[in-house]
Amino acid sequence: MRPKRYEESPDKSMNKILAALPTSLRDWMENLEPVRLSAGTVLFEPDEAIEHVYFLTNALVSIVSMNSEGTSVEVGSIGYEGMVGVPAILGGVTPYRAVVQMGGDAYRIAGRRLYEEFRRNPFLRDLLLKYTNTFLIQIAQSSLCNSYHTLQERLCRWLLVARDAVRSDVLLLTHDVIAHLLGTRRASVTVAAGLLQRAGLIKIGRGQITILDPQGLEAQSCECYSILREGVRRIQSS
Amino acid sequence: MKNRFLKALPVKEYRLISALLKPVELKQGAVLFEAGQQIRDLYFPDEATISCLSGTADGQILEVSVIGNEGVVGITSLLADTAAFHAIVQLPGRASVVRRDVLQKEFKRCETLQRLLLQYTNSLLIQIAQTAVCNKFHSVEERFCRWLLMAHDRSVADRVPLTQEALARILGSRRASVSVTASAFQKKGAIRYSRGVINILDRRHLENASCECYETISAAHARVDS
Repeated sequence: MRPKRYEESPDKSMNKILAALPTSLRDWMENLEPVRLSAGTVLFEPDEAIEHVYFLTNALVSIVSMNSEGTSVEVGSIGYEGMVGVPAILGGVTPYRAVVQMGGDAYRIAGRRLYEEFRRNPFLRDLLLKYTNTFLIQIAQSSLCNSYHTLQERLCRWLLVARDAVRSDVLLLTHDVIAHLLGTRRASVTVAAGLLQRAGLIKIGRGQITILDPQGLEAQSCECYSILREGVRRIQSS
Repeated sequence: MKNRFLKALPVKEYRLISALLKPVELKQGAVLFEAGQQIRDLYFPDEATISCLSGTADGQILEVSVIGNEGVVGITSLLADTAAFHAIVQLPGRASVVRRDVLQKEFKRCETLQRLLLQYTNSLLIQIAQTAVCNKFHSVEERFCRWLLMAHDRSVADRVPLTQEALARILGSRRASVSVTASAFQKKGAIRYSRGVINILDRRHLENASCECYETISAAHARVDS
């Protein structure tokens, strides 16, 4: 499914990487095409060359691993702090899928075109390599999280990350989708979400979850949330 | 020179980089650098195998990647100022060491070296991600095999000088689980362990018992070439 062209362009500075680009790249930034991404859109498939790289402004994209047994788990997520398609600048492909979890606006550019400028321009290169490092750390954090943290903690973390990405307390998500991302069964997510609702932290609606008490969620989340948020702050200050 | 990353460089680049390297003997347990530290040296292992570790606030440690003669230790210091993970020598042996600032200069100006280092970064991304998947879904038996196979690929012999306790820490498992697993594989003749050394007797058995993560990670590393 091709992303649709969006009439009013979102502010590029809403993406942290684009906001940090030097003015010398202003002309080159004309290559960035504003698009609207709808939930469920697959941006790239496992082992597929990356056609376009995306800089999100208020959408959320998950990088998902799908096993041959049919189970899946999210290995990383990307919001307005980053770029979808890191493998494109590394000159490779990965066995993972990038799927839009929550729809929103983004800027896209052909992977090839970004790669060319990345190799040529030291400012762009340094910025994107710094982000790559942050992304590696984030993925490693998923490893720790999967090994040591409970579903309850991981659900809190995930909801908070999603909330930050779309800058809204209303998340259009089903338990089924969350289960696929956390690598668990839908029933387990329903139980965990039910506990959070009973504690007054969230409200579960049809196909959506409303966050009522983000501080309360943070208290129940694993440390991965604050570590991920710290990663975002580090990008902003660089 | 057993480092496969260096051997993948074209002749001109290989000569250029080799001139910048110094041989070093890495001892088991040596801490090469810690997460958040400014790295001074990068390493291209020949025989040594290094664990990159991350840890939780309450002190739980986990290996997020293992690096040996397929690559380079400390590549995150070329991406950003500080080390992303702790690097500890898990299996001792020879390596080549280069100063970070020296390699960084070549990284910026040598096109082929840059391309290969970026490809290696991609394979590392896949290793870290696949390890996260593995930790979520796969049994201690499968993960035990995956790690042993990866260590074997990075060794020159069929022996892995590692205690079960150390392996349990690497895998984020309980020592008892690793003991039971090791015992079962020994009974099947796949390995023999004695006095802190795991001898690999039947590699094919381990490959069959491993999860697909081993293949996925190996395939990623194999793609790094000019």
